[in-house]
Amino acid sequence: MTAEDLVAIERAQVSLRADPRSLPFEPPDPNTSATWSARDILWLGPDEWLVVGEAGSEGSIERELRDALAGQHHSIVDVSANRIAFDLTDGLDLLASGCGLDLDPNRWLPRMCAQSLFGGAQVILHQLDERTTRAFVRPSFAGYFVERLRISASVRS
Amino acid sequence: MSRRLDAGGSWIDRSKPLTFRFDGEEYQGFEGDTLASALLANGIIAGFTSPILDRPRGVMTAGPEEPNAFVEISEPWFDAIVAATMVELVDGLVAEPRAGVGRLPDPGETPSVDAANRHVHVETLVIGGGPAGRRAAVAAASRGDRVLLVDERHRIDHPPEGVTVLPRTTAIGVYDDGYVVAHERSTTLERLWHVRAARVVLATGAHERFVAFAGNDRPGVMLASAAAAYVDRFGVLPGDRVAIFTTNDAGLESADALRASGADIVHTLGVGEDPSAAMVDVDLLLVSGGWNPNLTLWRSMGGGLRYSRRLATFRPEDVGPPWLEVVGSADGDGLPASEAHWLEPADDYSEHFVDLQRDQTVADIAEALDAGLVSVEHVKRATYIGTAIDQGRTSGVLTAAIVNQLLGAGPDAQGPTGARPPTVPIRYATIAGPDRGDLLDPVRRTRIHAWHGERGAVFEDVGQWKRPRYFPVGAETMEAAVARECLAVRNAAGVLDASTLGKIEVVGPDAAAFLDRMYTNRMSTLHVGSIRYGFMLGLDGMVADDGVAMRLGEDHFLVTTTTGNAAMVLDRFEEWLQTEWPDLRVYCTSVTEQWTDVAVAGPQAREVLDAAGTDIDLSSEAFPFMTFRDGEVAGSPVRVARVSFTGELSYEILVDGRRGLELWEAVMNAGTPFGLTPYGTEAMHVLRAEKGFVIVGQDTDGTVTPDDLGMGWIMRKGDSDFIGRRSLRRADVLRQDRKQLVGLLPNELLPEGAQLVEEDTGRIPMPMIGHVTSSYTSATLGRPIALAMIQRGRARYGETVFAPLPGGTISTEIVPPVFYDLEGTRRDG
Repeated sequence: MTAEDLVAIERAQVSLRADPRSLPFEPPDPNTSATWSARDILWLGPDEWLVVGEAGSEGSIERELRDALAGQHHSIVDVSANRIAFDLTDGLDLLASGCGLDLDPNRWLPRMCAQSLFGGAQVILHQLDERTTRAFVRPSFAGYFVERLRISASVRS
Repeated sequence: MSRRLDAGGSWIDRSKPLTFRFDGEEYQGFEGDTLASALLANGIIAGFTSPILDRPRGVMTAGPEEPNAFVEISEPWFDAIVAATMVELVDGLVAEPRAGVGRLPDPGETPSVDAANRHVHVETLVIGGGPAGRRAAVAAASRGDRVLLVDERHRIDHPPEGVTVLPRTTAIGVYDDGYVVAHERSTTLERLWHVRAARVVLATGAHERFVAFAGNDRPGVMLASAAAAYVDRFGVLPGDRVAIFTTNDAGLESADALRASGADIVHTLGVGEDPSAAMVDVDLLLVSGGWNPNLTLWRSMGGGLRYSRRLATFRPEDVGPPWLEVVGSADGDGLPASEAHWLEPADDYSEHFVDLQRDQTVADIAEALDAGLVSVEHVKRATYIGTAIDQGRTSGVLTAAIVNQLLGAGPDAQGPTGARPPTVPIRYATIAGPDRGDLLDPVRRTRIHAWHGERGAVFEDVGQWKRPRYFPVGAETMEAAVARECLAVRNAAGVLDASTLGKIEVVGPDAAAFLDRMYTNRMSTLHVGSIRYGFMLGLDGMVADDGVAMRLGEDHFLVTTTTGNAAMVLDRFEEWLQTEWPDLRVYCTSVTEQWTDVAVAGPQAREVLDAAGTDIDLSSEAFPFMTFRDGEVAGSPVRVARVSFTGELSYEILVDGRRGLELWEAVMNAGTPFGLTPYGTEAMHVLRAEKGFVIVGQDTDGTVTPDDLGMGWIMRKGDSDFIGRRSLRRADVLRQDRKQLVGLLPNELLPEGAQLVEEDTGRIPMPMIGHVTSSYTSATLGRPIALAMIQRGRARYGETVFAPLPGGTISTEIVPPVFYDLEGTRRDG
């Protein structure tokens, strides 16, 4: 892949904070994702998840979560505009130019996710399948993120 | 004379001749040569000078421990200074000798080499590709480990299978928990490897040591093993008539290798034999003073040393970190027994060189000891031994041994000095990799950035953000543009992209109690739908940040922060929640970029929103100051807040970031008939200063309390606590002569930062009573204004103070820090 191919994609994103025992789905193991009604649940912390769904579905995600968690201490915040996503094909090697995670394809497996840095930009990485890595970045960092990928790709040998 | 042999040389390919230049002359070498071996092949053993004493010097080693043969490489890449023994010969290489000191090239003078960074994780990292390193790598790979093997030489013999092998790669630093930084260099690429390894194996080998004797620095003196390596690897014989001085049997084996290649070994000298008894004429003197395990990296991680009498050197002691292991000759394995012989006795030690790169001799060590120094660490700092580019690889153990001997102590009394990364010089550009130029620090842009750019905005850096500073029209100067923007806000309406303000959602049954502790004023009494301005203090009681809290629900707040402190405030929230108050049921979520913030301000602001179309009743009765309403503007769902940083009627419209640009354009279109003018941060600064609103970080500097700012009202009374409260009772905070925020009405524009005095005596120094924090030309008032922090400032209203400046003294009257709309009536339009 080349950085020029990168196009930001939009997804519904909802930040969920709650007691893991109160969730309407089986919480994923640390640094992995699970699926809940065709949505991805990304583990971000012991009481923090990012629910990712089809673009525009943030309202229904929020409603379902609120119904399920009614009466319990929780926080459900629509963050669909707070990050944008890029899907990188065969991009792990390139990401290793600026990310300290173990992105060896034999260790970084589909369904794994983690919060880290790429260069100076915060990223959430989510491995969708063998070849596709989804990188969530803040929109304000998108230009930097793509440019640093492009520069890193150009000096790879 | 040194020369290429007709046969031999396991590293070179005689079918691939290469041309290179050294010191202005053209020479031939072969692929696989180092620059040093190619020079020796061409009969050049000297050709270098020492950095301080200007003595002639020659190639002395065949590896990274080289203290003499330093060059600048100018083609086909640039290296300011590097050992010729470590330069892989390539066609067209251009090198110049360098006497110990490199040269900074002019910009554009040097060919650019791409610098990359690369992170990698392995179970086992092996540093050193010799036999022991290869064995360790193979053993680890057979266990199923991912294995990386790095070696600084350009050639690794018999590279093991199933292992990632990186030649030309120097481990420059080993850090805690198996984090190792390694530098890979090639003709076109420099790459810094950030390696995380579960286990690090140091197979860094050993360096042969020389002996201090008079003239031991002269060209033609060479470590015995180096001479053998030139024969074996490169088919180069460094000399024809050879003598050897050795303290160990391995030195004799080196001499045998030269003899087998046709050299005449004319004399062999051992320890205790009188050298003057054999005056022989030779062109090469081999020296072997024993072997030192290469323990630079081991030592840098705090690994211990113990003295070995058999080897007459220091071996690693098993007290290093558990993930770090030393193997092979680095561990002393297989090294020859050696006599502990460091220096030839003499009356005059001024030519017994110890550190050739620093031109330091046994006499220099003796002088340091005579001055009363006893520690090798002090001797190092007095003589600079071991501080040159070669980092004392040949001088470290020798210096310690000579210090011990001269002090009459045993050879184990003191070991060599400590070691720190980097083990070899490395360019900052290499460390930076791609993170330089425009990528030095991320540049953050709002969703409306492109629109600002098309309108000709001049941007300024606010933290990592680019914010429009002003929007010049045509050839307008900044002064004119800012004046126009300010007047538009005061007389019609202006619009500001305020999206960079930090925004945090604070949710939970204890959210109000939590914010009460984080902010000085009481947030728990805020009504749902209302907004309150707040100060956050540090533990020292000083203003750390400001912002507003909107109460979205009983247990739900949206808090704003200053642009630059957004991450700090969230970190601080999390720190207190996680470490001090885990009992509080509160969740915090950053939503800075969820929202685009379109701030419309000015007497026509209501008309602008009406024209844009909204279902919110904008009347002051229905929608009072410091409240917010949810609704629609220009067809987009929004949250509108009536807060004001200008003093004018103001609506901050928060909209989903994905619709931010759309809303901005809709508001601009609707507002144009009302004179709606986009304004930047500079006009914002002027407008808020006219109202005496402070900017945390500009008018405050970490030493300012709310009371210093005249905002003591913001600190609640009663017994409920907030962060920083206790510090506000410190004697220093209660001093009567603290600096206080005031306004200034100078006759001309004051520079920000100008110091203020009571009386311009004309004699320096004058007692300074304060300084200017903000200073602008106010188009609204038609005069310069300023804010300042002045001792007992509030008691000085009406007084005149002076700012003595290089161009003359400016006098100014002290006034209250509100210059415009003192009654505050304009905020309702």
